[in-house]
Amino acid sequence: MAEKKNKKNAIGKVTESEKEEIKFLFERKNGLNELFKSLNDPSHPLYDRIVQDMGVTSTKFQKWWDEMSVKYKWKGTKEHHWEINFETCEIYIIKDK
Amino acid sequence: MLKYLMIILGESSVPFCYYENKTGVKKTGELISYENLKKAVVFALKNNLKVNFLYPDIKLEKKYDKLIDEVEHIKIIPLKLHKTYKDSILVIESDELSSDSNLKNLKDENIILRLRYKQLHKLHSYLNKLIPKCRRINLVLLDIERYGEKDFEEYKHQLEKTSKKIFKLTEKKNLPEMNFLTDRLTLEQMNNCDAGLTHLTVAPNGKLYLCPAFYYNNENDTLGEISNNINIKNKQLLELKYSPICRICDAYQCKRCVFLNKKITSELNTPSSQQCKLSHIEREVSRLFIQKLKEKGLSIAGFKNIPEIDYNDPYENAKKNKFTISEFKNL
Amino acid sequence: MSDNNKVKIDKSNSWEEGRTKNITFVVTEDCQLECKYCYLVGKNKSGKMEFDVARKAIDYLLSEKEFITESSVVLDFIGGEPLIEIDLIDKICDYFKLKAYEENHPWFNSYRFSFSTNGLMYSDKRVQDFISKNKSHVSIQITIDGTKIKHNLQRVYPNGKGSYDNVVKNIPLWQKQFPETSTKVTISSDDIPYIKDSVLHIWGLGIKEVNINVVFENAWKPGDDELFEEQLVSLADEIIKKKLYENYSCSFFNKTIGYPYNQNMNWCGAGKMLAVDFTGNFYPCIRFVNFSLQNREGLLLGNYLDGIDQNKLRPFLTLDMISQSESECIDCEVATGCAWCQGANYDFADTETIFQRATYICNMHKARVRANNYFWNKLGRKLNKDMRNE
Repeated sequence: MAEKKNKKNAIGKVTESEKEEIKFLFERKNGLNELFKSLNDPSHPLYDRIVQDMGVTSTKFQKWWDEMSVKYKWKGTKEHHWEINFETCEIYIIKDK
Repeated sequence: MLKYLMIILGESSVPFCYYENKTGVKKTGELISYENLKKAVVFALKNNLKVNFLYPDIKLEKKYDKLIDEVEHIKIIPLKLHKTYKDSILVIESDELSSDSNLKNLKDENIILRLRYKQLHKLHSYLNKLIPKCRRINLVLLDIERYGEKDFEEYKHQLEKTSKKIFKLTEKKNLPEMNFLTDRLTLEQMNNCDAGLTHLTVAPNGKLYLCPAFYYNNENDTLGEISNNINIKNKQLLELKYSPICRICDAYQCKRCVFLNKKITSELNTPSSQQCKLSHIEREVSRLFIQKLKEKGLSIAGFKNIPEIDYNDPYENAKKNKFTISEFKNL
Repeated sequence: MSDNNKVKIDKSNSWEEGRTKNITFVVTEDCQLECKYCYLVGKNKSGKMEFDVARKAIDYLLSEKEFITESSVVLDFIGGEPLIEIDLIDKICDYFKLKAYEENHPWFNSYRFSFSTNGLMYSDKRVQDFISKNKSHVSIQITIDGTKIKHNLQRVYPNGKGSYDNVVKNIPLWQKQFPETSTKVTISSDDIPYIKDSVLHIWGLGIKEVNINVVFENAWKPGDDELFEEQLVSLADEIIKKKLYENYSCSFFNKTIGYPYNQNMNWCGAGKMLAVDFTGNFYPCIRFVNFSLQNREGLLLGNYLDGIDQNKLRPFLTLDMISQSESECIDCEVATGCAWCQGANYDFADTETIFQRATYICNMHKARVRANNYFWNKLGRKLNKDMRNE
């Protein structure tokens, strides 16, 4: 669920602090994924910690979307996903490719 | 506007401020030439300037003494010349205070005490020796760039001890002036060195400098020859209003030494954190001193209250860039 | 009436504006080009950063929590041409990521790797591998200086040949990988006749944001300001006629410029950012590094072993507009938007100080203001709105 802009399909908005939560998780998730790519060495002392952290962060990331979608009652289908605009806090529904 | 001239009479002239003179010169003293001295004295006479002569520890020829006497002046001399030149400002190195014999015969003096970093913890005991013999003490702290948090605490401790001691003198009304304690009590605005603004320096080579420190630091850093058109580039940076930190500060007793500024921060108009903190320690001790006077029901004419503040370095406030254009124009 | 919200001419993208520490690593002094306006006057092949220097600099910066408090960081790689040292950069970035993670440093959750490149090596496999590995954290700006003629006037190989063709062939790949691309255009005296066509040309390449500035040096000839104004007015007409303001931006046009000062802010961020040269010395910004200066030695803040001397930072962080400006500038009726570069100020000052503002661009700024007024007034009439007071 990357950050993109598609004003025509804005379906809602989150608060500033809710945005900061997902933004943090988004950045951390990307950071861990890219750190993992750089590390690429199961014998490294930090490997297990990173892998575990990736799992925890992904779970939190998904949990945010699940909770917000329930809270704000966003529309959603199997062919679509949601995205957030970090500047405006708006949520968009985007058709999957 | 220029009010006085400093004239360095010799390479080994006594350093009276935050700098060192030239040591190990081949000819001890290496005096200013008579021609250069005459040029400087004539310049002072023509421009209504008083002169501060900085003396080396050697005897001058009579013709020098005669020329010096032609202009209204103050002599700044090393301690050793105390008996030779009366009514002078004496410069005392803290190293010289290890022996009391050096202070024999001193009475009602105006002195400059240059305190070495390693002797900070002895400041109070030195002041104890000097206070009875002085009408004014100017303290110059050397090597301030070495000062850290522990040194600031020590300085405050030393001043507080001194403050307690002189409290009794206040009651007897024979309190000497001390730049680090009593000056702030009588000031309502900045009383800074103002090198380049109210005074310039003539070095032994006959050239002009902002102050002796600039000469001794780098002889090439000159303002040029003595002339009727002295040009100081970016002169505004010597002025208070062009210093973002100093213009919002009320540690009025601080000298705002531009040489130290340049040396430590690379800018003439920006003081180091050490300079600001030391000046604010002095301010605070002065504030507590006058508070105590009030509590005891004592007062001294000219002493003013100092407001309490919650910072020891105006830098944090200056960083906020809240000084407005109209405030600047009103300065 | 048009949709008044669709005016993007003065919009610009800036990640975490005001909350980032920008740290520039000068990884090399080498470059394939010898751009005539380059401020790096002393480029050479021998200056190259060793990994150990970068590593220790990163260790220091991650440990300095008292004075470095920004929650985000941008590691900016520059040269010369930074991509020449992509292997080194890759190693530095890997080290940063690992170390920041290991230390639980806040920067691990908020960082970017940024590059200003001449674009010649963009499609190189090693560069592409780096981008792929760090995709969500990379920001790359390729410099296309305008039309082919304008670009090749200044951005040349040592043999004098222009570099445009070799750069522009990498643009499509760059845009595919980074849709929100922007470029930086530099204007010196010889470039003025090409301004309008250059901005339109860059937009035509699909690069929607053009950050275009005049040089701060004493490079201007009599009449340059009039020619400059003509170019900007002509560009303004084109933008309005074709409604280009709806989708493109050009930094010459900005609603906030051309007013008297009502704030006393410094323009430049020197001192708030940090530049690390290949020997591990710290500078207030790239413009204070030795090879960027024509008239002075570099102004050091410290180094990777001793850290930053906070006393050397004090002038930078307290510097304001009034302390460095002549009264003519403080009282100028059209002052806002008149830019300066602290490094250029330092280089051109009468004494060794950052407190003397160079004003070689004065007439160019005034010309820009007039053109800017023309643009916003004309656009406002078209959109039936007072654009400058929105």
